[in-house]
Amino acid sequence: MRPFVIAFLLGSLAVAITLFSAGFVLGIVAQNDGWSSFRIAAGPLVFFTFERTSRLTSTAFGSGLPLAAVAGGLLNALGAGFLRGRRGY
Amino acid sequence: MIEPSDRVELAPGVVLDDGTVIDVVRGTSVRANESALLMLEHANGVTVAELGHLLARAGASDGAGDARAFCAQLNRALLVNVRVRRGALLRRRLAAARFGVFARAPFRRLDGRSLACVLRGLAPTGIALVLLTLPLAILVGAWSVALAVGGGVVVHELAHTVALHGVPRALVLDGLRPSVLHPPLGAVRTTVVAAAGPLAPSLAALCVAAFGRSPACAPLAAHALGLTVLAPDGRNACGLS
Repeated sequence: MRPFVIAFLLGSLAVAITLFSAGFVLGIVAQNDGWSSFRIAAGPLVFFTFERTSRLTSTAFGSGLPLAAVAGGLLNALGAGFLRGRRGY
Repeated sequence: MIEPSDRVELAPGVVLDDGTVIDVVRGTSVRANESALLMLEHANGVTVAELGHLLARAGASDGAGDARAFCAQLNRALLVNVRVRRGALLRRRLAAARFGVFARAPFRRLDGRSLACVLRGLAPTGIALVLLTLPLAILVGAWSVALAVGGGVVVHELAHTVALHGVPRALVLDGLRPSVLHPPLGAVRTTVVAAAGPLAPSLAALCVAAFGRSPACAPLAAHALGLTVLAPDGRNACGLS
């Protein structure tokens, strides 16, 4: 059980950090290059929103991000289970 | 890719004691056969050719060939370091590339007892990575990305080293791929040591993104993928290695 829990936690953390950083980079590029407002979403799940008004720009992360992290953790735990089974632990 | 002119020496943390090879870092000891002992006893900066003569005098039919094969094997086992003359490695790589072969540099095992030693050992790798990625980084207008590529690798290995505090360790360089050698640890310590490496540059990425607002956070954040089972560190952390 322990390897799966660790794999889940580390996988979630890895996906969260990667998506947060990717979002920040996207926000920086969008701000510097004068992009107009946009959002990245899958249906009602919003991952990332960039807004440009006449006075300021803002970058926001939506509720899709924690869910993606949980999905990443599950995927990593599944991968750990697959490797464990293949190696006969 | 070992040539007769290369010099061979025992790796730091490897000692000979009464016919036994002791690896202080891995905490193992192996009884060596006569040929291995002869080689290791003389591995103090002599050339592979000189070791070949020694083997020939001891009765080997192809002393030079045996010495090369033996040195390669001992180097792969991280028991000896093979020093290649400056510039010779590049010449050999170019010569091998003409035949479509990638010539690997011998492994180098360096003293990792202190952070300063590890930092000194990692510095050439970090600088090489910065220089390799600098043209591309300048092309996309973000030179700091190149710094983050080199710095990220250094921070990654330093974090492993810090997590191994109090445990014998050595830095191993396989070309531009550094790693830290250590004895087997308990389950919790293994997880902490394995996760510390990718976690340190990943957290640095978040700080760079939040406070520096620089795209340099991208290569640092990429280390986070090392926490997954796709990478050796992630598998080690989950006890799958």
